[in-house]
Amino acid sequence: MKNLLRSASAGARPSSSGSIALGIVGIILWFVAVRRADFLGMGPLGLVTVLPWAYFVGLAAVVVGFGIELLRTPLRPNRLLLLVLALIVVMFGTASAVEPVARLEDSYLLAGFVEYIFQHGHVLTNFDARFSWPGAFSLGAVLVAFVGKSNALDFLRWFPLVIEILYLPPLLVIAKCSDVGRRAGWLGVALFYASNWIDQDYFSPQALNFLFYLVLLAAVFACWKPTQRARRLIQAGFRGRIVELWGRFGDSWTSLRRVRFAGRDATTVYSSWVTLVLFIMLELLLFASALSHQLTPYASIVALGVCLISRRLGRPELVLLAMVFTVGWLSLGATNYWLGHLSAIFGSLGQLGSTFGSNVTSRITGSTTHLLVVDARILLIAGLFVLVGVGALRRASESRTLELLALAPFSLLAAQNYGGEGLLRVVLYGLPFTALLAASAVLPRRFATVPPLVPNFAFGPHTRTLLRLTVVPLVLVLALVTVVVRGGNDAYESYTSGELNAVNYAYNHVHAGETIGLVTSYLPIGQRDVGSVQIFAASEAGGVPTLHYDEHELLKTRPRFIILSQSQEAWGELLESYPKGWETKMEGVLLRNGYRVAARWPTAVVLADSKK
Amino acid sequence: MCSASPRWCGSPGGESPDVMVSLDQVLATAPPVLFALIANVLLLTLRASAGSLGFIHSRRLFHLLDAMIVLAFVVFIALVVVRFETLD
Repeated sequence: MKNLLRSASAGARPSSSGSIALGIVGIILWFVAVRRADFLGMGPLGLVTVLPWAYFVGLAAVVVGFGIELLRTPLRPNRLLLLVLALIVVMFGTASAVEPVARLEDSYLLAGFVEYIFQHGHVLTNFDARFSWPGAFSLGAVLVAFVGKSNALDFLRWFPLVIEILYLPPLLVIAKCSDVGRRAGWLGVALFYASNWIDQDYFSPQALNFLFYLVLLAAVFACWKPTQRARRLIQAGFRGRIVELWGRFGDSWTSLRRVRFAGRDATTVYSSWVTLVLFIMLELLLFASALSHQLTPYASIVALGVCLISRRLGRPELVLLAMVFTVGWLSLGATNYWLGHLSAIFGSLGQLGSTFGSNVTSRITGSTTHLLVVDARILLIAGLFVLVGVGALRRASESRTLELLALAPFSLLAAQNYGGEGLLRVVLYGLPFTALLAASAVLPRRFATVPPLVPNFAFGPHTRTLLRLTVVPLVLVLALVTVVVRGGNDAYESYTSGELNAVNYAYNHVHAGETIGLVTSYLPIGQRDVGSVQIFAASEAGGVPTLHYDEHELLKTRPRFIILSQSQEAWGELLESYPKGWETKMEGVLLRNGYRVAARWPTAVVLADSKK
Repeated sequence: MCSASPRWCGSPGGESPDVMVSLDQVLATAPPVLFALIANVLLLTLRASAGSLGFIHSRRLFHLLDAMIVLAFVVFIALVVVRFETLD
């Protein structure tokens, strides 16, 4: 690839600082766009509906700058790094900059858990399954104390941007140490960010544990390499090709030899002491991960196992340690969770049909606009996996670790459907590697021990132009689709200041033991009085949510306060097909049944029970 | 987001166990699991240290260490299963 680019570089070489100028223009346009965006004008398609044209021009400028810099000779990593950082800011800083308060109700609830540990010094038992894995909440409480705050609310708004930037160093190490070319590595990092719509980067244990996961694999990739093998010769002719492929298939069984499981097919350039210190640090990292998240430790076990059998891990003890920590914490630390309902953990073992149903089929519901967002998400992932297939066929490599790491997380679905969210998570765990393989579809490595499965083809003097015409649209299309689908739920998952004020009003006036009622939990709520004030969401009471059902449940439960708000109204219209303006009708019903208006904001109203 | 998974992600409404188990029962099966866990961690760390630094020269001693690790791991898993069976 390097030679091809060199030979093609004699022609139009862009100016040396043009790419950075485009990056700066992109950031300036992004800044103008987020200043002009009218959050209150958000439509059913979410965040994208409030972004002015300047945003899209800015995003395009950053991507074009990246494309120019990526295909320039010589490669300038510092400039590529700046352009990737610009891409991260434009992709992941927009919601934080446009929306007046932090999005996603779960981030508020998890901030409430942090506050509870900060105030009481221990977890609340028999309250929430997530308290059985309290490591991340405890770390949050330590941070709250360290910065002298009383809660974690100040961390929420910009957390997605910060954690995405923290993902960058391990991603760069993985890209550098995996056996793709340098350009493919940079393109893979850009594709990771351009296609990460999965929205697991909010203030949460899974966001922190994904960082642990990346650091673990980056360390393994940096430390261990496959032992050198003789390069396989490519046979001429169709028959020779078949014989060669058959031989490679036969060779793949060697991965099950004892020597492979002992880690002796991987080698390291580090000294013995450095390797041991790294091993102990990874041991601590696995321990921290085991007690702070339910799913990531299992993904780590699978990933380490894959690294071992594909000659990228020289210390098999790490796989066993990951198992011991994970199963040990489940058995000892998470007793409060599994006591009495162990079937919730092991019940879906092998039930692939129901897992697929809860992860995919049940999610394709709602209004036409919501379905559009869901379909776009599925298409984006499908498109990425098509590129993965092409990349796997085209690239030469030292081992097939990337392919295995891209696919291995799916094995977790056979064991657990994870409440219908398993598929999202396994796609995320595989994304760093699918992105690198997708990059290899465009910029494959030509020569390595394991030759490509399909013959190479070249475009002569037009190679560079064609690559630019491929790279820029590829990253840009993925980034644009991600901008649309990532913020596609923001009509009900992002909140106004009025909604937060309404929640604070209710918390300021409710007493311990009383209940705050909602139609659905899409509200910035849960951040205070964890365990002492109940939150009741009528649509989540167990029945099939309908307007009449929600009214009936609220009147039956009679919470001290009921909050109706803009985001809940959008949820009803988009996901449950409630009639437009349904909250006004519900407010009337509640007012006729003993509730009065306690406080009102343009986007939220708090109703109080007149009899209490 | 974790809204669709009340078991794994929890729900503010409460997660009390379906069966009542006393604290004594919970604690009774914990120490053996904990001891087995610590034994596994120590043995695996010892093996990794020996593998990296090469201070165990005897191949026979290394095989003995491997056998102890396998035994400790099997005992650990068995104790975990017993704990699940006893308490669930």
